[in-house]
Amino acid sequence: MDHLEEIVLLGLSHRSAEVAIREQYAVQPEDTPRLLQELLEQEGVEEALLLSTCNRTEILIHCSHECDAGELLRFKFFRNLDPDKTYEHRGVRAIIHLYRTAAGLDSQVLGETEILGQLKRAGEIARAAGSMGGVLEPLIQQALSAGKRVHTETGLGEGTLSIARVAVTTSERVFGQLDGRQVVIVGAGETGRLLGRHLLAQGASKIDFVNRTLESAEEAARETGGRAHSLDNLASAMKGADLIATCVDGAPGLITPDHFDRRALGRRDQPTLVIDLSVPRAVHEDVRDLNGVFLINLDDLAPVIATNHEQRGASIAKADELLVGEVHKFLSLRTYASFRPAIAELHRRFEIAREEVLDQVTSGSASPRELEIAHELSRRLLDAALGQLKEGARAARSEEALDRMYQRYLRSL
Amino acid sequence: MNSIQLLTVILPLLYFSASSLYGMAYAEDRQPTWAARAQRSVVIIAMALHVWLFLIHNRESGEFPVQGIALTVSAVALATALLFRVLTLRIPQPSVGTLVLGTVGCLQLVASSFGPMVATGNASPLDAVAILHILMMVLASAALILSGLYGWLHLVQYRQMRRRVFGTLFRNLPSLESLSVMVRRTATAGFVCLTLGLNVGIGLGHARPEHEFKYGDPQVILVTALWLHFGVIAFSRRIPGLNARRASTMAIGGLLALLTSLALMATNISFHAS
Repeated sequence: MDHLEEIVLLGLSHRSAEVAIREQYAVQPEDTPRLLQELLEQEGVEEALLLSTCNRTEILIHCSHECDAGELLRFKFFRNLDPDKTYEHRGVRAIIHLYRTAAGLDSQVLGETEILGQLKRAGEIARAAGSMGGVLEPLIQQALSAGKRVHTETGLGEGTLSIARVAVTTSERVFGQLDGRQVVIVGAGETGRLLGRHLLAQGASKIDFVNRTLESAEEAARETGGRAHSLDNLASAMKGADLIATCVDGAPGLITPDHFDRRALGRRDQPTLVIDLSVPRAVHEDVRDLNGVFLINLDDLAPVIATNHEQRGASIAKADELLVGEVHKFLSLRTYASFRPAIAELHRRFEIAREEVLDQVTSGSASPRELEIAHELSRRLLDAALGQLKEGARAARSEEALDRMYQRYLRSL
Repeated sequence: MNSIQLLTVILPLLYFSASSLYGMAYAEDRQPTWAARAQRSVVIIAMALHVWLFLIHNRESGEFPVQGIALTVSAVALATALLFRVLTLRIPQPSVGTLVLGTVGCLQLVASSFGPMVATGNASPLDAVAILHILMMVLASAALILSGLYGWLHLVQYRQMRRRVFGTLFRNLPSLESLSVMVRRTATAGFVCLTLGLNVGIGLGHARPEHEFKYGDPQVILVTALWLHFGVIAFSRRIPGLNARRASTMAIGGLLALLTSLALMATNISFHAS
């Protein structure tokens, strides 16, 4: 059986499920190694990787034989969830999906680069947990490399680089210039810091950070010239803030209406903007009802992001074309890798034949010059044979056929 | 058809054309490049022709050209277009321009509908003080119209944010902060002009008994109320609880009151009607 058919990907993302569902099935980084270990204990599962970001939770596994991987993953990760809210890809389709994800083509913000770091970290966690091997390891590496190529060789990510950037653009619609605005970011992780950098670039002069661990908040606040607060002081940190952004993991409903001073809100000239970039959502929905507060979450930003998609048709086509080539390269490498036993046997036979011929011709007393000629001859013949094998591996799956499969995948989205 | 009659027909059309050209800003990337270039030219041509209309009127009648309801409304239309152009010289606001020039077009259409605006030659000659009063009131009206329009757009943008509708309007309108700054800035300009114009007008009313000036005159009451109203908006940042949204709502109310005041000029209710 083709090894590729044993790669299965099951997940949900902004394409299939709204944020209220995504937040229920988000996996925290600290839980990932345990879940990967549990997966490896399942019969037939040889390798596994788990990618959980604010917009997707995906599990990629490599099975040793035809196990009912889809059902297994669904039961383990998405129990009680309407199957329509998830998607399942196998074999080449799973690889195409992974490559498009790495390239930011499947991201909510088209061409964003955060996903590369997130996929890289997911790979590191899986490697540390011992759940990646000969199939998923090269697959992830190649997907990351293809993703980088798309970012550098197409104009896909130009303009809007991340969810954080979209959030900044939205805040500009409220405040115009961010200069002099009091900004508080809850969460000093990568997204929080990225948001801080974007806000600084747009003129914000001082950005405070609130975080579970005060050390991380202090480190982030040093970068933005603001103050650091622990979560215990959340309400006081938020006092008088013009813009509050949350980028925290695993803190549903962290900010409630009680964190706001209603009388102070009424006295403010401009509304307070609260941007919730967390999954699960860190800001309680009731905050939306507060007078003078605009609450925006990831789903609300979807139309802003959709505009970016429309404006980048040419870049998308170029990126897709590049990815077809990259996927084809990976598949050829996989096919060639499956020839390894045959190649080893070929090596062995060439060596035997060379020694036999040398013995016959020189009666066991070959000069160094004759030995050198014999080695060079056998090496060249072997190279020619391996070249033919490589060509055969490339031809085993034509790029045109792969392109058709890629287009079918796109149509199914 | 003489030049004045021709201009009364052309001017509304030109302002509406300019408004349509500015409106193409909402097409974003699909906006034709010529439209962006043509916007400014059409507005400048319209304003130049508008000034020419008043010059012809002045030349033909020998009167100060802003007299009577039609020419006053027309002068307010010109002042609104001119003030908007000055205010947005550094940072053009095409998305707002379409509304402002549409309103200017409507005002000019109303002015043109009152008649061909031909010079009558029977208006009483005006001294410099009366001209100052008229100019200040016209400028104040233009500033207050802009304040009301910016206030309306502020509420539109606020509503978009509240409902999380991030469509074309949201993307193209200025930020809430910029809109509220413009509401207050234009209200302040209107308040200053109104202070001057109102005081000069009251002084004139007292100096000329033939005007039968009364403090109880509906228009005097309305304009005084407007003066207070826009004074509050101008200083709203210093008034606790009077946030940008409330100031915008007040500016819209003020705009409606101003239009009522202009309408009073066309009736026999006010002393100005004469």
